[in-house]
Amino acid sequence: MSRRRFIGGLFAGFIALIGFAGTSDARAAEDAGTFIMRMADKAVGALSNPDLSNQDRAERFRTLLREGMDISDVARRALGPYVRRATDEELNEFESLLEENIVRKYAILFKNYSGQKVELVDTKEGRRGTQNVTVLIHRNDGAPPVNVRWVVHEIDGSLKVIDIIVERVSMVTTQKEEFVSVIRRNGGQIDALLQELRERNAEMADNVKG
Amino acid sequence: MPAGLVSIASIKRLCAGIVLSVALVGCATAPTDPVEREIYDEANDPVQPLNEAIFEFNMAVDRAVLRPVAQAYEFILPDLVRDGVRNFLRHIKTPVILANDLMQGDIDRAGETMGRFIFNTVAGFGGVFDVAGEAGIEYHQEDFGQTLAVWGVEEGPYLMLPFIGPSSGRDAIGIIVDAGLDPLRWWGYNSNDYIIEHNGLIRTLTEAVDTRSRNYKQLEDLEETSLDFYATVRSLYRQQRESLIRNGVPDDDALPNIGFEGYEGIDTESDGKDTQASLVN
Repeated sequence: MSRRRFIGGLFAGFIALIGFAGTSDARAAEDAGTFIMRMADKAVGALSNPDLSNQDRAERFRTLLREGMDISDVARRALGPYVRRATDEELNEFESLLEENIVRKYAILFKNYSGQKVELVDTKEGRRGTQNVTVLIHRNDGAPPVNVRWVVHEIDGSLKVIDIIVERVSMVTTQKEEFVSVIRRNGGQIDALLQELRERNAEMADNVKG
Repeated sequence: MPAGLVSIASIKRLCAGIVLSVALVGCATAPTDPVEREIYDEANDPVQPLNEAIFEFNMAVDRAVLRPVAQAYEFILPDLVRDGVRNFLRHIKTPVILANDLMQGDIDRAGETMGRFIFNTVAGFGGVFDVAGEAGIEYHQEDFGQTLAVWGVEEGPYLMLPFIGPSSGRDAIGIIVDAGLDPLRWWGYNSNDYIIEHNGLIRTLTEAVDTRSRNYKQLEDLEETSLDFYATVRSLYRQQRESLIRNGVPDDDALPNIGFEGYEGIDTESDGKDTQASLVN
């Protein structure tokens, strides 16, 4: 069961986004590393104010997400082989539902952000033009640091995150298997997943109001 | 994860159960549609209906017993005591970890395991304090499932084991072999003292409670936010095992484990840009 220790990592990944405030290490000459740090600084400025309403925090997070993440790429990979079956309309709707889902799931967590120290480890070339930015997040409670790897690619001249790998657990892979399983259980109907996401997003929006 | 004697018995029962249910229900037949077929192969979960039933059972056991006990354990005992319990459980697992380090030909990590054992025995009051870890020789886990993987044995189908949780054909064999490699268990077989005799089971249960007390909130969050908890657990289990097998070294050649082949379908649509990877990881 100790494997499940990693589960919290997916959340930690998003915490990492705003965790760069304390980064003192100036080795980040690489483009992708600089990009991740710039986004992180922005996120800290925009989100870590405890007086923000949950709704405002969510909207600010959405703006950052659009700027920093290639949602379109993430969405296509998160559908697995079903992406080949999806119509353009389904894909478009899935993309916006997924964005909403990420915003709803994670925005609330920034409220409790407590300034963990983040150390940039390195930036390496990945496969097919991607860059992997690895950081360690040092937690306040003395627990071992969390290893987070950002997979970044360039699209239309700007860098975008396409996966977050926390303690070797990929956000996209995990979401993909979840989504594929939902579709499969519903006889291959992509619309069934869209419906589930719509409902779930509405539920979370209700919980977050205030 | 080690298994007690009881666990071995459960595995035997499970195997019998699988044989029986396969005989009765038959395996879910592989779909012929190419997309469905790809998903079926990727899931590598031919006994999924049985696995899901066992998963439900495990969740019920967790709700009824493990979680309340773990909560009480966390509430009653100070962190220092719980850390001591975990350190000691890890400490007495040393022979199994060392054996697997060696079988994987990893002399460096075998050295770390030995160094930790000696250091923590002497300076850590018999392993209750992890002074080696604080000095930079971190604990690492090894088991025979990982050793088999290093030897090139395939993962085998996904299996949900009663009480134990997610596993695979390879890891289930690993659990049994690790039990055989454990000198404390042999000591138990040859003892009439109740506690010593059942030390394997006692350790397994204590470890389960201790581990559960440490990820209480995370699991709850995950279950709440997941659209398909069974599939999420399966995915996390595989990825974490993969990471353990590689001893945490990231596969730098790999993009995030997309896993599915035949990804060309997208590339042709995305203005021909080769930004996607289809990788077999």
